[in-house]
Amino acid sequence: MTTYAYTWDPFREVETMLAGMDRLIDRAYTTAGSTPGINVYADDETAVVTTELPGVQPADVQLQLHEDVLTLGAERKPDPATGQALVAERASLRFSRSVSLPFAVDTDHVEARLNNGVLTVALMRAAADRPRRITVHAN
Amino acid sequence: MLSLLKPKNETPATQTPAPANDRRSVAPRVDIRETPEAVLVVADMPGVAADGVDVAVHGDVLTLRGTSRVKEPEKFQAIWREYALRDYERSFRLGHAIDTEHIAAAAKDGVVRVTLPKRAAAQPKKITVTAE
Repeated sequence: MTTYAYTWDPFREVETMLAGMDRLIDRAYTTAGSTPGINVYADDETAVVTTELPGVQPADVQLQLHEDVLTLGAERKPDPATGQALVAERASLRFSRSVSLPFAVDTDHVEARLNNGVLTVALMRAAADRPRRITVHAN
Repeated sequence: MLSLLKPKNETPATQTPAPANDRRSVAPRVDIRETPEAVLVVADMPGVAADGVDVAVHGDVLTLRGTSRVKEPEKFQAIWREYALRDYERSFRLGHAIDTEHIAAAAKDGVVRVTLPKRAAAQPKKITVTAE
């Protein structure tokens, strides 16, 4: 009889599926835990990247740009622990993630703002990457 | 004292009637801490400023609502979306020890802090022992 190093375990499959569903339901019904979601908006010339960083100070946000990849990281300093914790759902917020931008951007024209715990990064498309309009002349 | 303030085991998101801006409300994550004088609720509500916070007490239920200031950027196309813009709502059952007349709330950097002071009778009293 042959033995396999890895045997298919239907229970493991179910567990994996349940964990995935938990994550989905979590995302739908509550605010982000340790790793926030990222949204990217764009028009022809500008890309806007947003993420939710409640309680994070501007000095604790790291932004890095390499070609058309934006890496953003943040850390939330824990509150001074007063009294006894009864409920602790706000996980420590510390992450670093990269997102692909729809086009190459001009590294000199990046604007980042943190307002009410929402980070908004506006990036301009690199001049060399912009579509050029070619005028057609009549004879 | 743990029963003093418990999050209700329900999902307010599904019970909330659609607000005027037809955004969904979700339950924010909270930390709850207790000191001898008060109970402190700290809620993550990104996008909410002080004027968007609403704290209401009906009977023994405290409802914390937050309306986000964030709007979809106009004239832009969403090309990658991991989270939806939403408002916040969550209810908590209060114990008798809370002085509901003096509840205070503050918002900063998208975090809302609600301070629920305890009634004087519920606060621990220090009895001084005098030597004869």
